[in-house]
Amino acid sequence: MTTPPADLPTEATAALAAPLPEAELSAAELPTAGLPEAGPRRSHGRGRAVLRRLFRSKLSGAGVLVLAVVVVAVTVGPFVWTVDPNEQDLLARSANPSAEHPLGTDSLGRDVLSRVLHGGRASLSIALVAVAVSTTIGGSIGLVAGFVRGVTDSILMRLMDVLLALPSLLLALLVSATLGPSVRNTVIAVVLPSIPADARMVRSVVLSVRERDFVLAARASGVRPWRIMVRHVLANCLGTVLVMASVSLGFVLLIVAGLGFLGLGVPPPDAEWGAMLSDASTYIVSRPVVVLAPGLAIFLTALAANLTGDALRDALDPRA
Amino acid sequence: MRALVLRRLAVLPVLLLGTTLLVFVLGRLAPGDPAELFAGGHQADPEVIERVRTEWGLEDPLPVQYARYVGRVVRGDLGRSTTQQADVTDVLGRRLPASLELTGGALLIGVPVGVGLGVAAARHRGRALDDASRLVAMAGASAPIFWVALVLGYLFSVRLGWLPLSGRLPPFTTVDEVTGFYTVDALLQGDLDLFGSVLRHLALPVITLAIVPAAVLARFARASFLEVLGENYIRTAHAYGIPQRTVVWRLAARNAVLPLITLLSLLLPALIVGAVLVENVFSWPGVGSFLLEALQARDYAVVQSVTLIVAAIYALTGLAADVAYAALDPRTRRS
Repeated sequence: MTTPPADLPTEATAALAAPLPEAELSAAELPTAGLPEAGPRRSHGRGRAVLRRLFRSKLSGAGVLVLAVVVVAVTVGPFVWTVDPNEQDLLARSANPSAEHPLGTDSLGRDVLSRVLHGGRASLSIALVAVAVSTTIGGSIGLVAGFVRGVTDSILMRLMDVLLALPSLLLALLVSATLGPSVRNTVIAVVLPSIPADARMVRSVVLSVRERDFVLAARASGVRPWRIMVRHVLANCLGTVLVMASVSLGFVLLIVAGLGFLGLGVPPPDAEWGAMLSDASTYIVSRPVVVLAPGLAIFLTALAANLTGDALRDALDPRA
Repeated sequence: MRALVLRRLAVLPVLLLGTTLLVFVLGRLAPGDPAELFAGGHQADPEVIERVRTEWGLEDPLPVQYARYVGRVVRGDLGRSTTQQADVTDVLGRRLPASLELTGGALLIGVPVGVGLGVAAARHRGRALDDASRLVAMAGASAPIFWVALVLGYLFSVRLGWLPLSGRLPPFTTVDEVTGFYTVDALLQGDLDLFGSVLRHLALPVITLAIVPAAVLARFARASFLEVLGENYIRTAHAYGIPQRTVVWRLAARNAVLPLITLLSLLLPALIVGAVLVENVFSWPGVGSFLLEALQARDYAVVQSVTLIVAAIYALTGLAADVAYAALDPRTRRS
């Protein structure tokens, strides 16, 4: 690192630069940027601007809304519709929709509505956990690789290349078949193929952030590399990470459902959207509703997640 | 240009070696004793199991086993399928044409549809058509393909009875297999009725799978055309009064389509995954359904081989796409 010019107020520059999320401050916000106490207010204003942009397009607004509705439905739904998803009504097997079973029953006489709600819980929570884990692991790998560079970078990225050498669902299938079907193994099977994409994405952002002036200033003022990496570089990657996570939610949900459909996801009798489709596919001739319901649920949720991801990207990056 | 090809080629063996290691480790981690499975399961004679185990060298240290495995693969020996009691290479050779026919058909339909959607969106940017096209593309990318397959199968086969629901041929019908591509074989046989039947069997799986390339291309074609349509030479062409259609399809397309070539490497994994699921729903006797059967039966020689071949195809396509792009676009050549 080059030595700083003697007259540069390095401490102040570094401290100032650190909390700025991205450097895209509009001209109106700039004058207050130097005041330390302006920090929280500024980020508040920015948050509101992001929210406003999030709902600017009808399409993206609808995406956010549908996703919210689905999340509320699967969290609260089972408390409202309290029918046991595994209880078999042997007198009403493969029944048509009725007051007792609004979406009918499956071939074992289980209530389809209840299974869709509980299945959504399983699918969504697996997907959410998987996204959180893979974003954390992949993000850390990308952060370290991009910040440290050198041999560490090469080794980490070649490792990621090996994971990328197989299409995601295929790798998930292999892992799940090897470990055996269970909720925990499904998460592992889905996380593994998602890590490299996250690592690459974060690394590319880190590569550009680490060359910014405020990182240079921090280095020059003797801030420890570890602290620079976390406080300065990571802080500026969070927007990307958020977009990345919401886009991959839809993608991961499809893999979870695909695994379930092929019988390598959540084991029976627990409900899960993909597995429900696989159960029902045998009965598509007689009970199309049973097939339609969980499939439509996966479709709408994945679509909403993708729309939300796109909207977030547009909202956080006004240039796009 | 040559440096690029050489650099990419140099990475290839490393990547494939990494993949062999991955599948080898997964194969060994898997529950179940391969020797016992090969000998016929639980009730097999312990003596036979023991013989298989020594014959296969399953008692050697793992690194030795791995080295031997790589050695065999390099020589083109993929091992024997325990379920089919045949060499994996033979079975794959028979299964591959079915998968290629399916994916080829999907590309044939999906690519033009996707590019058309993307161009329509780009030409009407910010208007209703743009939103509609984007929504369609995103819906295509968000729909679980096995569900689409089920719904289309229900509509066009069960309900309307227009198309057959599964397989490549009607029951009790055969084609003289020359190439393994039934469309070609039926034509070679000069049997037009059979050709029609083959096409009808192809229809549902192909249309379902075509959603994958259509959705991916629509999105990228839009971006690519938007960029090119904003360039000066296009504005000049408009100013000269050249018809819109000529401007878009002759002048802009040349530059806008090129970057789409690199999409191949992005499209391929999605297409492979899609093919596995579509083959499963429509009982299509291709590599994908073979892989699923093998996974279920723990036929690891097959699982390892399919995985390895997919990885190789995937890596080679990425390489080919990069090279083709560099070769076709003079602007990338100079740097």
